[in-house]
Amino acid sequence: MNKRHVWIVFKKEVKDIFRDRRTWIASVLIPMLVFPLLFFFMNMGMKNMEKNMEKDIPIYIETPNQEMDIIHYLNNSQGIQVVEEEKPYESLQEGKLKLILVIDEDFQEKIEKEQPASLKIIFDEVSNESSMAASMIENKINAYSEKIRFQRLEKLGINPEILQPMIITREAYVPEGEEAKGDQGALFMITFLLPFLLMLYPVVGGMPAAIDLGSGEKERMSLEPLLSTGAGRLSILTGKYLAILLASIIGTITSLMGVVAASKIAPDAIPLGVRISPLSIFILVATSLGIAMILSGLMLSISVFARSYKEAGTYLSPVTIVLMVPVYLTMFMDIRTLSTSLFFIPLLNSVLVMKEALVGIINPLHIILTFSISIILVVLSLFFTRFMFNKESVIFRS
Amino acid sequence: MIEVKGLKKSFKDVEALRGIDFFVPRGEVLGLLGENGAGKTTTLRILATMLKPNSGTAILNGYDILEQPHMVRKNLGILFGGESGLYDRLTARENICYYGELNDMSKEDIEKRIDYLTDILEMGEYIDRRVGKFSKGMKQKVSIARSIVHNPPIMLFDEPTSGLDVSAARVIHRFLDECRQEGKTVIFSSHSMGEVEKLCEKIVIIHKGEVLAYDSIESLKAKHNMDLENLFVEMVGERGE
Repeated sequence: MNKRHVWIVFKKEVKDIFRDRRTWIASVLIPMLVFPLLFFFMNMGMKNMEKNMEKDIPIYIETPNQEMDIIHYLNNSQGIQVVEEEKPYESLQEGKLKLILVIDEDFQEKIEKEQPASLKIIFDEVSNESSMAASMIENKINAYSEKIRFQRLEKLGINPEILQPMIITREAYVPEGEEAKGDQGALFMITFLLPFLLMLYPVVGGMPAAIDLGSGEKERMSLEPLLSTGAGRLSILTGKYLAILLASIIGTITSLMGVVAASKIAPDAIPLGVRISPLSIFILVATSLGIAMILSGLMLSISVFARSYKEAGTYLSPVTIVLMVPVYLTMFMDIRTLSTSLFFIPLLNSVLVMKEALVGIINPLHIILTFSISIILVVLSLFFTRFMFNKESVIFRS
Repeated sequence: MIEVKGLKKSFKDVEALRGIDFFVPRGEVLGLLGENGAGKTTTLRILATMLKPNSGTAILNGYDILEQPHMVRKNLGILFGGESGLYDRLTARENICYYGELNDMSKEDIEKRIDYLTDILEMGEYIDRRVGKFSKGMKQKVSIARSIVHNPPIMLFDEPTSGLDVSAARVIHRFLDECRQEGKTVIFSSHSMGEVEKLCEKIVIIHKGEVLAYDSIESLKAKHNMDLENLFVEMVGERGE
């Protein structure tokens, strides 16, 4: 391999792919904008819904007896507007009403007789606002129910606290000298989102470059003149591989920048208040670099094999879906009780090591296994690409 | 010079070349004639070290294609017909420069050579423009410049005029003539008998991977007492039946 030739090919390919609008769209624009835009609109939707919920919720009470204490209670409650409707069920489906409360005729009588009195909340299951209103009304009725319970106990001369034998508090264990990881929701979000991005974006970022540098050379008939130059095939291949790797890394970095921007736009939807140690960051970077290296080799070999841009696109598109499998598989795995055998499975081990690093678990055996397998895969993917590039039936496949 | 010795090449069950021999002395233009699939492109690809023969070899300017493929490539330029094989997002200068660098030329030599080629191929107006929007003729000129930027002593032409209009084809003819005047050794593969007759001293007629005829055009015509086109049709027809 001639390093000078590698550099010449790399330099030319980088110049060529970054003059391509598709590279800017796939490696920079989409990764950078997709999360901020997604979370901006999600946040906007959530805020809109919250705003609607801040207004008085229109509800309809279906009962033959309007003179009940609970109706007075609800009428006087803040955030509720009891309305009259001729066709309440139609109004519920049209979204004019958020729910219907069905109260039996003997409800008041049963309360007075100190018997369990039932009522029913009817809501629209396809409306988020209706579901939220149902939860809110349920809380208000529970509070009313609690008030009655207290009154009954007091009437009997019983201290209400007697019915609450225990008070439970939850607290995450933080070993001495360590800091709490942060909010649980944020932790779940980040341990899912980060491996997802580090798996997906090397492909999203590198794919246009891989297609152009492999099958693109064949389609534009530039491969044969290139192979007849003084540069060896390994040098040409290495230069191309490094250019794809750079596009993959840029895609990954810009997607992470997008996530950070999204967390600023919608801090409630994407809370990043998780503390990550420098060692964990190093493991994350090294693991994601390994993933990018494996996938760049894989994409280049597939692209070299394909006859045309179209064929390469057809082969490469499903790769993104296949890569999601390990991410989703690990979603509900308990990070504390992972079997070592899982770390022998390529890519799945990378996701698991990233998750461990994110929660501060540094298991040397898991890391060594993952890195060793990743290195073997990188070498294999490079050998495979070289094999494909040297195979006459692949190079001149048309 | 180019010496081809017993080249054989198979692709799975198909025998593309069944033992090809010919010799092209320095400064001579040899025409390679044959129908589609006769083995012309396979021969040129083997000479350019893109394909490896199953047996036989070739010596180009003293370098063996099997033992010194790198040196062989440094000593040859190849020009294809049809699509130009240029990088649309690079300028004409960048396209040519890339090939100069890959052929181990220094920056200064590349610049001097590009200036020279820009001048003789009349590319001054568009040398620093991206080639994406060039006409076929303009692209073909850039392809020519790219193939000879390292001033190789051997040139291989693989149907370079296919799909070109008359004026673009003339540029190729002129260029081939200049190669001859500069003493380069040239193999010119073509379907066009007129073109071959005009440009080449000797020809090799290949059919189904075998050499049917290898001689100067004049002696072949005299021996068979017919023009080149009829000679070709008769030879290929006889074997094809």
